[in-house]
This record gives sequence, C-alpha cells and structure tokens, in this order.
Amino acid sequence: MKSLPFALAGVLLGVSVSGALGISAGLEKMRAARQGWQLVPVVVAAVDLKAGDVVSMEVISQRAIPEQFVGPSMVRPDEASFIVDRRLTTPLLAGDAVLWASFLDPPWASAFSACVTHVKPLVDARATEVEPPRLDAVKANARSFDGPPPALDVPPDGRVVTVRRTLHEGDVLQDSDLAVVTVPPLLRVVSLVPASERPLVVGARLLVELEPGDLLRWQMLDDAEAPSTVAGCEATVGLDLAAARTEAARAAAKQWVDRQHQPKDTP
Amino acid sequence: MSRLGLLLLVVSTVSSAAEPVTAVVVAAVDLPAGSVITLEKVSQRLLPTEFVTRSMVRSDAASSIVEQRTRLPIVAGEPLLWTYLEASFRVPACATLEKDDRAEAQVARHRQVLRTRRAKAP
Repeated sequence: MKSLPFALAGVLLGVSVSGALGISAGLEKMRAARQGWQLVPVVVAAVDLKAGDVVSMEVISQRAIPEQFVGPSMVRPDEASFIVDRRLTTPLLAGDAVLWASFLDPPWASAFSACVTHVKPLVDARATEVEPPRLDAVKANARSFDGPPPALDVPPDGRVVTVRRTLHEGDVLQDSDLAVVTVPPLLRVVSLVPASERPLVVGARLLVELEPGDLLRWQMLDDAEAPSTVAGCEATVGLDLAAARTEAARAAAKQWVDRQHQPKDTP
Repeated sequence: MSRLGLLLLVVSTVSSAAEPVTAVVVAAVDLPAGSVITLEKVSQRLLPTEFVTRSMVRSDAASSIVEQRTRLPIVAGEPLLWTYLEASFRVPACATLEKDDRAEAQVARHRQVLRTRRAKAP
C-alpha cells in the first residue's frame, strides 16, 4: 500500500508529459494548417484615386490579407513613407492594394492604362448583351422543382461524409473521394451529408474547392448532368459569360491597338 | 476505489485540457446565398483542430471577410469556408431561379435535386 502514492505520482507524471507532448504536436499541426492564411498587412487606397493624384497619408490605409495573396509587388505599411508625395500613374479604387507599379510611367504603363480604360466599358456592355447558351436548359431543370423541399435533419449519430483529397470546383464526386467521420455535437448542423446518404452524392458535381478533411455539405453539390440550383447555374452559365467576356476583351483590345497604329493624318 | 476514481478524473481532465482547439468563424445566423457578411452575422467557435482545415476562415481573419458576399447558403453554426465567399461576378440570370429565401430551404433544395437525380436514374 505504501507504494501506491509513488505509483500515483508516476502515473500523473506520465500523463503530464504525454499531455505536454500532445500540446506541442497540436501547436505544430495548427501552424501547418495556418500556412498561407496568416494575415499580412498591405497598403491600400482609402478612397478612390485617379491617375495623377498625389499620394498622402490621408488617402491610404492598411488592410490585413492572407499571405498567399500577398505578392512582392504590393506596398507594405513599413514602406508607406516611400510612396507619400509620389504621383499615381494608374487609378486605384478604395480598398485596392497599392502596387509599386502604380507609380511607374514608362510608355507601356500609360498605354496599358489607356487600353484598360477603353476595353472595360466595352466588355461590361458585351456581358449584359450575352444570352448564355446553357441558361434555358438550367431554367428548365430548375422549373421541375416546385414547392418547398423536404426539411433537413441533423445527423443524429454525427457520422457524416468528408473528402479524402483535394477536389476542385466542377469535379464529379467518385466514391473513392469520400470517407466517413464522426463529428462532435458542436459541429453537427443540418447541412452536413449523413453517412447513410453517401451513395446519393456519388456522381454529383462539386460547386466549390475542398481540401482533404473538409466535411461535405449539401449546398456544395448539384446534379452533374442537369444543374438545377442557383450555384449550379452560376458555375455552368458563368463559363459561357467568361468566354464571352474574354472574346469581347480580345476584340476591344485589338480595336484599340489598331487605332493607335493608324496614321494621325488619315482622313 | 475512491482513489481510482480520483485518478481517472485527473487523467480525463488532463487529456481533455490537452486536446488542441482552433478558433474559426461560424455563421451566427442563417445566411442565404448572396448575404453580405457583417460582424453581427458571424461568431467564433473553438473547434477540435483535427476538424479544422485550411478551407475554414480562422477567427484572426474575420475582418477580411466583412462586407463580402456569400455565394452559397450557410446555416447558423456552420463554419465559414473561403470558397463560400463570392470570388467572381454574379450571374443575374441565375439569381432569378432562386425559389427559397431561407438558407436552410436553399440547402435542402440541393439535397432534393440529388434525390430526384437518383430517383430518375435507371
């Protein structure tokens, strides 16, 4: 019996050491998970600025954005003093990151800016004119779903579908992409796909990008052959519009370049 | 036996305290597709780190999602994913297809579409 306190102390010591190791491993996992999402401050325009405006501390601000979106061309807050009193050569909208290239004025910079100014309204106009070829089919699909949809339930046992690998927007789900995990009550919401519904999502089209371990949710999915939801429509019809925009941008830019090369004295 | 009970209590307390958690942004209310995110509409929740993926918006990034628009419905309590946020232009013609104004009904519509697909399958 005398050895019991020593045994108890030994167990407690062991538990404490394993707990500390667990915390250390957890912190390491947390650091890995955060990679790319740490926030980095950059200088942004606080108000709309025109080409030719002189930058002062009153017209700039700073905003923190995930590091994976920060490039070396962006001005950092500790470099703000270098851009004060300098003249912008390209316009910036409030919230736009200030780029070092915003102050360059070689001939190509002003030409590029002028071209963008010319192209943008033409492309915007074209986008409103386009009748996406696939829109009618999606509308017909959506019309077949009248009345309120059946109510959702929270998966009672917490067993839900998750993804095994990185999946991209537009992918069609295969059974091998999926796994089942049990989530704690804290995470159980009606949008999760219960394990019992796994066969239902095989063959569905994914509307978002997912990482391994992400839990699958109903709103991320649509019928692969007959898109019928608003998000599915945007993914499908958006491709038509993006193609039309690209085509319009190319045509407008070509028109602008042709005009620049026309002799000035042409009648 | 009472010493054993005490030991089990200590072990369970220590092991639960060691479980790593990460603070993520969750919807505080139902957010139908197209909602504009404000700080009042989101909250933060500590989740076991094993369930937190890079897709989720961490609490320390909450300020960068304010005033962004959601492209998919999100039900209250659901962690926000970066891919839920509108990344490209909206297609106005598609928005006219929306029949439901509640986030939960919008989510349920997606399940209904998949159930119908399977019912029609040969």
